[in-house]
Amino acid sequence: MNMKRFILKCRLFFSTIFVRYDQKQEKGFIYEFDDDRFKKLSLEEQGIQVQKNWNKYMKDK
Amino acid sequence: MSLFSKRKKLIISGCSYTDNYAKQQKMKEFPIWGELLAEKLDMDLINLGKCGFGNKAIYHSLTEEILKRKDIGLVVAMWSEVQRVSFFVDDKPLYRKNGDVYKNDWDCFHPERIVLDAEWHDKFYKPPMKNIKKSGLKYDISVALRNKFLDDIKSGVKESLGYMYALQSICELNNIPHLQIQGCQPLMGKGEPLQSVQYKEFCNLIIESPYIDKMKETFIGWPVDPRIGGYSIDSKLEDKHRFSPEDTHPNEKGHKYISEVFYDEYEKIYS
Repeated sequence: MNMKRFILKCRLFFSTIFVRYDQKQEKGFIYEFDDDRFKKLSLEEQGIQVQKNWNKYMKDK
Repeated sequence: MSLFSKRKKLIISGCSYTDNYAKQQKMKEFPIWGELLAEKLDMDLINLGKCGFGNKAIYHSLTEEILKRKDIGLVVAMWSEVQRVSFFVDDKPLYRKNGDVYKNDWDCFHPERIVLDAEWHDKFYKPPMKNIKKSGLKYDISVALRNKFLDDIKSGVKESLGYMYALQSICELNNIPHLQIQGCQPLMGKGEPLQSVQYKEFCNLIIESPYIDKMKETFIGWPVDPRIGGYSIDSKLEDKHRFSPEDTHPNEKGHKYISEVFYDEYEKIYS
């Protein structure tokens, strides 16, 4: 292992222990959709809203 | 851009961070970083970036344009997620209602997202009804790749690093000024603790790769991840640079910031 690799390995080791990285969590995909109003709808209503949303997307496209 | 302009060309490619994402999403438009940078450098912009592009598509779109031109002022690659897959499709042009012509040469997607999306829709289909999201080529390929572990981080990193080094080599060989940077986060966003585990693997793969000491200063933020002293443009964006907590793409301020990053580095390296 060359010196650069050794230094980077050490850096990675210490940074994973001592540093917390705040990365933006994705929320834009449908499977991550986390809206309380949507959750409160019945499954049938949820399906209708998803279909409406899809129809609008296809129409705009 | 005039067809007969003698100005040098700024050729860029990337994903939604490079394409006109606001226009795609039918949001209020603003100048994107490529346009701002071209104006600062007094060059004509050729933007090959498309929303959803994977690194294979970014690499090939750039190299094909580079090799057929002699009037290049600067080439910029803004790399995407390493696990996106890209297939050359050469579809017919699509004529949109608003008059835009959309030509899709590459079909790119993230297999894990395709599968998650399809599975999320399962709840709306009761047998014998079939989930239509679970049909089609994209889904079939995604399932096959995931079942055989062919979309893992290791293969994505290996392939992407190869493209990054190949682009650098082609530009050097042809004496073309160039810059590279990681645009969005290189891995799909996951909750902790999985995210940390995956990024540790990602960093180790970069460290152990033969490319670790081959990338030049033209790769801004190399070696890509803050844990090993690098950065992506996404890791530099603050909240004010993004549309919203749900949509973390760069907004107008974000694009202005990105153009400044590139301009400063260009001045430092090539002036």
